[in-house]
Amino acid sequence: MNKLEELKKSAGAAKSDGRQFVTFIIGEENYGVEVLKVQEIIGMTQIIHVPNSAEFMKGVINLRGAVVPVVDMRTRFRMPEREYDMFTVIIIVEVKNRMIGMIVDSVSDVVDISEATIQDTPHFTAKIETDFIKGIGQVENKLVIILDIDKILSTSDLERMAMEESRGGDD
Amino acid sequence: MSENTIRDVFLEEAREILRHLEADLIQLEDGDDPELINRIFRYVHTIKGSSGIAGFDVVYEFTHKLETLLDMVRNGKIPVEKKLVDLLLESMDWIATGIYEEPDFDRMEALLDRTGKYHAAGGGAVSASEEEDAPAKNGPSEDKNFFFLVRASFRPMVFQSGIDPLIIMEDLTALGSVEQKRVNLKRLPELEELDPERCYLDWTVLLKTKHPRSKLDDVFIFVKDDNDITVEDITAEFVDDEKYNTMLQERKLGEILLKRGIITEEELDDVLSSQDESNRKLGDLIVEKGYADEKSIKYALGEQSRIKSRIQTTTVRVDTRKLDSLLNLLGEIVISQSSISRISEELEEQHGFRLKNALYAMDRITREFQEQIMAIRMIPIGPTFEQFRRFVRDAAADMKKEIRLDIRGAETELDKTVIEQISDPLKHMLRNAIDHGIEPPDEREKAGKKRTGTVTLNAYHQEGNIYIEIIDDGQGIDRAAIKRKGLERGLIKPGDELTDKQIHDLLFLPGFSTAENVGELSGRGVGMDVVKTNIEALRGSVEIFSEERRGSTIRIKLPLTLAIIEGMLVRVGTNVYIIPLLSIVESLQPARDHVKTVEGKGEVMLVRGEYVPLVRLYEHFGIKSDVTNPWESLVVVVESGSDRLGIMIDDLVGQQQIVIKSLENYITQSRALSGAAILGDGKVALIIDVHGMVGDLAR
Amino acid sequence: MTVINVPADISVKKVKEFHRGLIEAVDREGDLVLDFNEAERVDLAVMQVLLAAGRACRKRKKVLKIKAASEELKNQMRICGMLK
Repeated sequence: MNKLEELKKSAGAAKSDGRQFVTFIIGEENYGVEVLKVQEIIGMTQIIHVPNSAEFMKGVINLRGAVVPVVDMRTRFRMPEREYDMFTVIIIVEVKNRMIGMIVDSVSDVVDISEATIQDTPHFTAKIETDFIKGIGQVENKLVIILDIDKILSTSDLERMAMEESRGGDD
Repeated sequence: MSENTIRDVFLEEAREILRHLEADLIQLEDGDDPELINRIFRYVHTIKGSSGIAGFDVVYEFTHKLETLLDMVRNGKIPVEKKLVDLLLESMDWIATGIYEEPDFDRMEALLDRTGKYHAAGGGAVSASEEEDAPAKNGPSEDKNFFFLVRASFRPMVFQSGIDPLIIMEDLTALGSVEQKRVNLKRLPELEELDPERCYLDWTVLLKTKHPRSKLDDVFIFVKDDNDITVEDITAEFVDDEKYNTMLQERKLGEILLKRGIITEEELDDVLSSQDESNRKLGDLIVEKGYADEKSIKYALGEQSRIKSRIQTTTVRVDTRKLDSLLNLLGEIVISQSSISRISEELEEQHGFRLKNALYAMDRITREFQEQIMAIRMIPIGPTFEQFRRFVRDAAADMKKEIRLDIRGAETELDKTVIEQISDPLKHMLRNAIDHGIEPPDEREKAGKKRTGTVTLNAYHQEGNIYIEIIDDGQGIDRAAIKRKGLERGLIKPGDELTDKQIHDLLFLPGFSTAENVGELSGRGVGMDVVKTNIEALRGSVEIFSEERRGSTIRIKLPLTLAIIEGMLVRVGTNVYIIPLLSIVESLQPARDHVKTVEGKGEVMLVRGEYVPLVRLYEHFGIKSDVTNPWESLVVVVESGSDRLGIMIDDLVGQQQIVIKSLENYITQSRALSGAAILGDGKVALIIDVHGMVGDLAR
Repeated sequence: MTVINVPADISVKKVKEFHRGLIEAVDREGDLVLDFNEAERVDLAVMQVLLAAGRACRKRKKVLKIKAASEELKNQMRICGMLK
């Protein structure tokens, strides 16, 4: 909770025509998710592996008594994996009343991005499927890829993928 | 009250009334007991009034006509017969759809047509209530009835103040109609000892009136200071008059007979005083003295037990979310406890000792706390079983069979959510028993059985589990037919030797449910495999027993507790898993030559003369282990139902109470995992589902 | 058979005498008849005596008959549990 609150404070008050986003880094790109969907940001903690799960499903963690599943976003976006270091964080988001954690390389800032500056994706050769992108925003000189969390962590998709992947697994 | 709230309250209360109404209507078939008819009339009357206020005009109109019909019945103008009960049941169904779905006007016309014919037969008199109750559309009008429970106890010297309690009671009763009344004559002495200038009587009266409370208070205005008078507005709760039987305290046989008008108070007093002298059963004395016949006594005894069970189910109404939240909090307490416990392990002996003792005491308390919270969520399965009576009646009629439903163990309690989820599977199995188990009456007769078949629903607790059985005395399962079907569908091979159990288990395979009529086999689109899946989701199991020509029994086993269990922590490499203690038979280190590999079956291990499958947990879960040879490590023998297997692990860590947290479906596809728990050190441990693991091996 | 005419003004003021009379009547042979031709209604004091008398009669296997009871009286008896 501390990290998120710190970030929010340093970002100052929200401007009325914009929305606030938590921005983070995966690989070389900056991504953002709406602040309202973010429950908290925690440092890397012990993840208990769950057998027979999809590759990007890293396992589950204990979040103050709740068992929360955690997804490795690099794997989800089919990027090569990377060792976790002291900057690696887990962003806990709420998707359809369920909590899920996203492992990202590091978190940047909570920023305001006004509606006006959010463009549609088309011309971008994004590294990830355009389905997952809500739009591209600009903050200072950086481009922030705004993610559609509901789609990326859609539980029906996850379930389907878990089934496919586990069939390929041993048993 | 806003529009919405009135409607919501109505929707909820109507549900309850309809439930009771259905149960009573079914009872009506067994005999036209006047009290029963009255009660039915009151239910319909209540629905009529409330539906009008809540804005359900169509339902109001329909129910109004139904009420008129019932009025004629209770006045003896129309006799009770099966056709009438059918009409009443169908009308009740229509009311339910009218309230919760869309009113079906065609059906309504048809029902009203039949109702009209009865009206005509009964003399076509417009009931008095039609004039009394004008449709109430604009909120509370003169139409609304109140119900007050009045308790009046006068002090002994009340006559000296010039007050005649009798006048007061006359004034009170004149305000409305007395639904129930109880005069307490216990303090009245024998004639010779009586002091006629003292008051010995007190009253409890349930009054139905259109007058507001103030009017009642006025009646007692001169006496309420010196005497014990209470006026309670119970209009909101007046759905089930059985409740008031309990409010009137006495549930004894005598009181029941009194209330139903079968004996008078004098007669009761007489019998009670004789009882003191002779110590014989009240019922016997009453019959002997000629105050009532045996039939009435039996009615009363039946009502006595029904009242008891109704009390159990109608006294508490708690939002289940509150209970869930309580249970969650308790779960967190258990987790905190284990954290503290862990810390106490790390302390030095002298400090640790006292802390450990204190924790031990606390542990006992939380366990009991847990049991009590679980107990609140437990409700008797009786009402659920009773609901099936209608279903059985209709289904039997459909199939032109004569079937009676026998219910046992109605007081057996289950967790509320389990009862909700078990309802559909039970219905399905009942349907099977009716469709394919019980034979048509003629066939039964030829087989030397009674024409009426019996389907029994039985529930009981045993060894930490709940058992629910559906037993029928029908034709049993045709094993040869199943085998044939199994061969046809490629589920078994020609040379296979199958035990009875294995044959029955074929019924649970998805392939079977779409079979056409083969004795007791077919489901109706919802197969036995779905039933099995639903029950397994509750961590339960199903078994079938059957004897040809004698009948079949389906036995469902369910765990008693859902959320908190005793777990055995086991370690494989750096991973800790939990095996539910209830599933563990024993743990041992097998001898090297007791472990074998069998062609086509995998690894097995000898346990007490029997070979059970051996699972190497590290293999099953794809994790690293310290040891790879079973004879160098530990094997935990577990069982689920009649299946056993051995799970090979590195080491046992310890035993503790754990709170089960569910794992969402999308996290893993493994059936061998049933949930997760948080250990004292904060780590998450996955819980092994023995039944699921057995299933994994079978594939 | 003993017949008692209940006076019109029967009430708690005269109930002691009424009570004594009934004790005696209950002891006599034969059934007991209470004629309410003149008494339209009673009060609770009187009703209690009636209730006790009824009980006493039953104990002695006698019948207590109420004759010429007005509607009002009948209602009162209902309220006190003497009639259904």
